[in-house]
Amino acid sequence: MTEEQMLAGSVKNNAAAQEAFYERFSPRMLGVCYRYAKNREDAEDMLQESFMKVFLQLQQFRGEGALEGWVRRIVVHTCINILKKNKKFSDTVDLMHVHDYCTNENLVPSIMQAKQIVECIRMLPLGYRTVLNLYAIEGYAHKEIGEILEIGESSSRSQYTRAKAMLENILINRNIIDKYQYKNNLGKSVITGNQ
Amino acid sequence: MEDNNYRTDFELFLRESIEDFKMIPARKIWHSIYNNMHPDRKWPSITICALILFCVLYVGISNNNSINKTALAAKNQLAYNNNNFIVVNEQTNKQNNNYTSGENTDNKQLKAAQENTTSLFVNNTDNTSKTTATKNNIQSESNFTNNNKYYEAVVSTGLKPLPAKVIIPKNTSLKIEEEPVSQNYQAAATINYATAKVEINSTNTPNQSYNSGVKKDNTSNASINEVELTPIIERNSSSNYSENKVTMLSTEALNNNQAVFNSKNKVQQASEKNEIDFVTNQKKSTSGKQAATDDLLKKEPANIKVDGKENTVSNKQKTVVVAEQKNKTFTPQLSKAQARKNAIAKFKEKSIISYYITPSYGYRTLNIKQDVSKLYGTNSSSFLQASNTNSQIHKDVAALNFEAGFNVTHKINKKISLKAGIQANYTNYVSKVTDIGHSTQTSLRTANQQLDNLRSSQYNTNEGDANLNRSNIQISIPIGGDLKLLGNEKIKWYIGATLQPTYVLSDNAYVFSGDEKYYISEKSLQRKFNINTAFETYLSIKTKTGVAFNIGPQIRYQLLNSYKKDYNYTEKLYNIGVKIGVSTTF
Repeated sequence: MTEEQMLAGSVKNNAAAQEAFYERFSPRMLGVCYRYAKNREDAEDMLQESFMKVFLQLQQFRGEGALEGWVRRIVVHTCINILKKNKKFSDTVDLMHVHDYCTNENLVPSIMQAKQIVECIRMLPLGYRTVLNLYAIEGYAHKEIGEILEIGESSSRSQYTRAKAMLENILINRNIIDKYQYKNNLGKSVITGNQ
Repeated sequence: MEDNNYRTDFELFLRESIEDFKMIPARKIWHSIYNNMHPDRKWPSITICALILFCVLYVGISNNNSINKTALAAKNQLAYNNNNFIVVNEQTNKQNNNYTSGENTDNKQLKAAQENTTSLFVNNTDNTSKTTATKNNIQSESNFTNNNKYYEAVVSTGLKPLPAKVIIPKNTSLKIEEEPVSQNYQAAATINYATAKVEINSTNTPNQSYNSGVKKDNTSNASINEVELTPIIERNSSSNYSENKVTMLSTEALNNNQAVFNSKNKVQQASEKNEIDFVTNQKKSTSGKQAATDDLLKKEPANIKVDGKENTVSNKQKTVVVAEQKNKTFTPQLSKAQARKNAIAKFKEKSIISYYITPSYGYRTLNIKQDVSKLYGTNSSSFLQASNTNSQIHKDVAALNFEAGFNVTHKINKKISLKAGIQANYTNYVSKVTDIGHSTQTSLRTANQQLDNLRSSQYNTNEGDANLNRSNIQISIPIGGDLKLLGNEKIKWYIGATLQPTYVLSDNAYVFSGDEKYYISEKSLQRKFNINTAFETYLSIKTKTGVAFNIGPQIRYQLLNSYKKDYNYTEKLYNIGVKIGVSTTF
């Protein structure tokens, strides 16, 4: 089934097309949900609610940009709304507690790098993690993040800075990135104007 | 959303690293979405539930005597609507016009019968008095109670005869005299088959020779003997007012061709199978006999006068039963309905229904189909590489299982019985695991390595403090047999075996990852249909009430793999338990 057929069928509430649509996007979207959620069960709940919204709003998709990007935005917003609804943003920690989180890193399996990095991100406190996900991975600006999370732009910046530092430490401790190489190369900003 | 150019290498590194990160959601997520998006299409689960419910109800209803009686009454009513009946229901202690009908009739039927009845004569042995019941005098109770203790008599002359319950004092015969019929159908009468239940007063010792047809009721103070009898009306066609004899043929005798209980309460042993001819008035031969055929029965209905009324009767009703010789026993041909009824009665006589539960302990056998390490060699990727033998890396333990159901057992001979039924099974064993607290992407090992897909798991196979319940709920149809080894009337010892086609209703399926380090919840690999077999031996202890208690050990083994052929392991479940049940007759 082509993407056009899948899209047209899903808009018409065709079950087969919707299932194909779900099969196509759900694995990656569950990965997105998993980065925001506390555990897998919560991630699946987020995924379910997200796809309900996707199917209900699919007729609003104008074909401007990639379908996956459109779906992803709905998924991210749904995850954020669920987290806000459950008031989980109060769960933040200071940078000094990073080492406490790192002590649990032996639970993270070393199967694949992507998986390892996701697990490292999930070690961050929820508030940091959310800001980092939105800024570094989803590409939102701090102003947008402030509006989405109902926090100030400066607060978003500071949380991101702390999250980034915390994650860097975790990645270095797990040898996922090389400390010296990172400091010489990755640590440099390409363009620092908007950080 | 900001452009990527505004990010540092760190953000780009993160983004690229997890760009293709995927997780496989559980199938139930899609089902939930589907049910929410299509609330009117929950048919698969509803249909299966309805089907199971229907099966259970059907079996229950078909085994329920009270409902069968209702169906029988409805059949009788149909017969009343189409035929002439003589219904006499007489009891010595009854007053007024309280004519209750026999076991399977009611007052409505009696009334209908009174309106269309022919005459009934009860001829006492001294021939000094006759008790007559006709439309006009059937309500005259005294006619019936002068000399004899007539309790109940229901005699059918209809196409679909009624079961009759008749109490006949010793040395009393029961005769039927019909009203004269129209000239065209002078010799016409009806086939007269009915199953009569005759009770003989205890003061009258039954003739020894028909003991085989007599059931003694020990629970009654009056020590009433009951026998299932079939009245056969014998027509004397030489007279316009033909005097028909009612010959009572015991059902058992009828089935076994052993004995005939005739109108004078004497039993004659059947030395050989005798035939009975059917004769119609229109095609009566000189010998007075002509075999009835389907052609005869298909003839147009004709009018027959009964009690001065014109009644439409079918040719089948006009068939006359004639005994070849008065003193010769005969085997009448039964109507299809009667034959079916007799067959059902015979089946029920030899059948019992059992209800049982079986608590047990269940476990599994596990074998690997292909050693993946040989296929991939030492250079294989870590998640496809086989580990040591699986028995060394994970620990499974037996757990409590349960089954409940019922079956119908039909006796083939003194030792062998066949049985079939429905049962529900809850099978279970436990895997000791470590819950790693988060999902982990890993790979599924399949027999066909092309199907090796990335999956997500949360448990590793290390023996930890968490338990995975490897349970499923099944419904099965056990079909098998029992063999009686030893026993007397009270205690019997049986061995038995069943084959059980099984459908798995729900399950917790966990399969191994490619590296055998993780359990993956993967229900799509679970086989839905399977076959189990069970072996058992049990003691059956019969109580005074007729209910038997059964108890004994049972082994149940699954013949087919729990999983589909794609999975690289073969798992077969088994359990050992104690079967406890009760059996009762229909």
